[in-house]
Amino acid sequence: MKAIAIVLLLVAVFIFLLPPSVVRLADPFHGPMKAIYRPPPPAPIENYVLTIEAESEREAYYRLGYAHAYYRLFQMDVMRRVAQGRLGELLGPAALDTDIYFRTRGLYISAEKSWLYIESNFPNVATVVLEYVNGVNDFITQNPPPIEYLILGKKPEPWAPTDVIAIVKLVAWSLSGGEADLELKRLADRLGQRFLEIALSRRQNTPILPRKAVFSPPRDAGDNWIISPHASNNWIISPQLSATNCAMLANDPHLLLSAPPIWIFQRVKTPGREVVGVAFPGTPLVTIGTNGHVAWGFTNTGIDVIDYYYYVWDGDRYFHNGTWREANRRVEEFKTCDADGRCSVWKVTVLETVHGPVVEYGGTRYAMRWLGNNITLEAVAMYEINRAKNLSDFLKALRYFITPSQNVVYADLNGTVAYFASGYLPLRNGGYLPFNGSRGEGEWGGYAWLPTVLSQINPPYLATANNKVADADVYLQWRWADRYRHDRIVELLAERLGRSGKVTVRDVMEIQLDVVDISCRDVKLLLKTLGGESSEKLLRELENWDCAMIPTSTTAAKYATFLYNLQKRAWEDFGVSLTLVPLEVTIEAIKSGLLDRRIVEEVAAEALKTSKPWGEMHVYDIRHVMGSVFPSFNYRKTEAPGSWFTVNVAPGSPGSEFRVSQGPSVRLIVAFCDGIYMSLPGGPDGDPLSPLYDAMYLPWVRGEYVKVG
Amino acid sequence: MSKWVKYTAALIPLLGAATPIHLVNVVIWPLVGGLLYGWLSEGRRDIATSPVVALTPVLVVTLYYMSLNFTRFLRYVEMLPTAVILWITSWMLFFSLGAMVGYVYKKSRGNSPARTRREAAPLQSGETH
Repeated sequence: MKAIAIVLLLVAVFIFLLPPSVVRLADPFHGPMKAIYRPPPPAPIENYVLTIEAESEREAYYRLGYAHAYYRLFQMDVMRRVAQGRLGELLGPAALDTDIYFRTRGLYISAEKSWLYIESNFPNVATVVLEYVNGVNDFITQNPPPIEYLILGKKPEPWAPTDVIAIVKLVAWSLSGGEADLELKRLADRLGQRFLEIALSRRQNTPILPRKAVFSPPRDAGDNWIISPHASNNWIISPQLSATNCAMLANDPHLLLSAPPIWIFQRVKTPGREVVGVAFPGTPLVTIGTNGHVAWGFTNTGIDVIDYYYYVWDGDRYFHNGTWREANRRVEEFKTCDADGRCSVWKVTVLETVHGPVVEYGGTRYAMRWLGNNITLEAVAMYEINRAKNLSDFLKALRYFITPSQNVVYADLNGTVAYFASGYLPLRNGGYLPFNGSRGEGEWGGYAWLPTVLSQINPPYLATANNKVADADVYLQWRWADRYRHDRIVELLAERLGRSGKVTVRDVMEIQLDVVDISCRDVKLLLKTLGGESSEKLLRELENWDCAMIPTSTTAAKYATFLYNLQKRAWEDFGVSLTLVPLEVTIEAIKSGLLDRRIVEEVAAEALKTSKPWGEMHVYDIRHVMGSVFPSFNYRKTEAPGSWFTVNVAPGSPGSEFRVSQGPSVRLIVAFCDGIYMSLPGGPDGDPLSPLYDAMYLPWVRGEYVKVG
Repeated sequence: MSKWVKYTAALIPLLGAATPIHLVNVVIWPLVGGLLYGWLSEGRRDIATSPVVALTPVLVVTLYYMSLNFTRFLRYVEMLPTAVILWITSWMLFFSLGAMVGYVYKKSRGNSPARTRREAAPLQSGETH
């Protein structure tokens, strides 16, 4: 009996020591294994497209909400929680910093205000959002949670209309530049006025719009609702130059590549209307797509709509424009819960000045003013865009699109093509460096609606790739992307037109998949001008190379190593991210002697040591949120063609063996009179147990498309 | 009592389908099943084979999930092998442990008077301790 008692005691101790997360994982009935059962889909995925057909708009969006939750609930929840600053409740203490970052910046607060405004002023939009939310919530209450929740031992919380708006705000924030102005200040403090001149003027650039934009006097004071480094390509081809004799539009927005993809490709069909394109899971409306009458696409302009203000502080009081003011205190409570259900609560006090929430950077307090922290109506804009039948409808809809400013390309069934820089520009003197708020600098004196100044109707063709929008008489932006992708697209379009006079859908696909990096032209010049022995050796190799960043090329690997190390050696000592400063600026800073010219030779010598082919170094690394614990949820690693400056962009993070986790988040081509073609970097279904989870990933890597309309 | 009755104890872990407490499903039910199995066992050989017997409910659950959706089952095994290994190991471990304890307990209760008598008696020819 004594032996039995000892054995049972040992078992009891063992049980006590087992972490609940491990026990949950091993439970075949109520653990993750339960997810093998899945109810039948509420709406089919046809040819990778979620297809909703309904008799009314209300029914369609209800069913869409239900279907989004069926296919993507966990992903939706993660995005919502990031915006809320509540990710730690789901994923544990590791997410606390992210939570503090976003909660401090007040995204969800502005999403709440925006929703209340939409609810009272735009009943049609509110109905769509509410029906969608009802659909999501009915899915949550009527079905077992997806596998991720079963692993974590958590349950999804109900969806709210504010969550829809919050996801839009999150995307807007991620495209708005974040703390770039503060990083620029750090560089300017160290390198002086000459660096600022180089960074702001960028003599070597190709603006989207060739003419100078004139903003003064302000074109638009803004409506009452506004009072209160990502990269992408898009282009349009007019019917005269299109092989289909109808307008053509192409778009490949470059965003974070994730498993499942950041977009869901959907078709919502109601009597008299069919909208096809990509939407963010958690939001009902098509962001990029077509409704058969018009088609639209976006890339980020990088127009600066965030300002930072510093003050003289006395405790929590700050001196603003001649007056001492008490900063508003917002106490935020954060909860983090680990996988075993142990929770901790943290409190952070956020100060707010007249300009916005206070953040700390490099030991200094700055108040952040972001256009997106106002009531913004992008949901209204997208609702109207989804219904637009012509350019006039489309432009009316764009008035509601406040931030982030986008290079909007437009094409329609009648053959009109157009370009607009969307959004509003806060009118102020400067904006690239933090303002002295105590002196009253940098106050916003109204807003300019960008399409009134930055637009072009019916160009023969036009391309954007986050390059400079236009020279202007006011400050617009400083962080536009290097011109290489834009110039390459234009070069290839011109080449096709020169050859046959027309551009075909196949041509457009080939351009989207192009991996020639024309930055090599600038780099060759740099090596020729400033290099020594190693540079000459590298130059000789580059001269015999077509600048194609193909996986089998060792020269491509040497070139990429050179570029990466050049940026690293140039900027790492300044404590800024390596992607902050465009290559054009780095080259100019080296040529002007602002940076040590010897680094060119040193970096060339390092690059020559590279002997692996590019594809062995440069691989897609597309992860699920829980992929660090469950690597099988990540997409398979595979060689990635392209590089930072190719049209088929694949920016590697070299510190981690050139792993690529950003790129074309969708490739879309709308060719009126022909069809809609698309390619998604992953599967339409977010359930890792579904065969559709990664179904389109490898076809996307290979550059294949499906015709979806 | 049929010698097959003891094998019904192997199905006790399946009661977990009705109990939403992970610890009960992973530890307690297989332990209880093992205890019963051990109690009904007739010899040490039954105890030695208890880990194999513990695979009976594993097989039932596996067949159940395979019949629900074969593709998803395969992907589950492929994606979460750790979870599968943990499940099977815990059921085998706790069932076997229960079987051992059940058997020893039965022996210690049921055989103790006889053993005392036998210990007092001299060994018969051919009999060993």
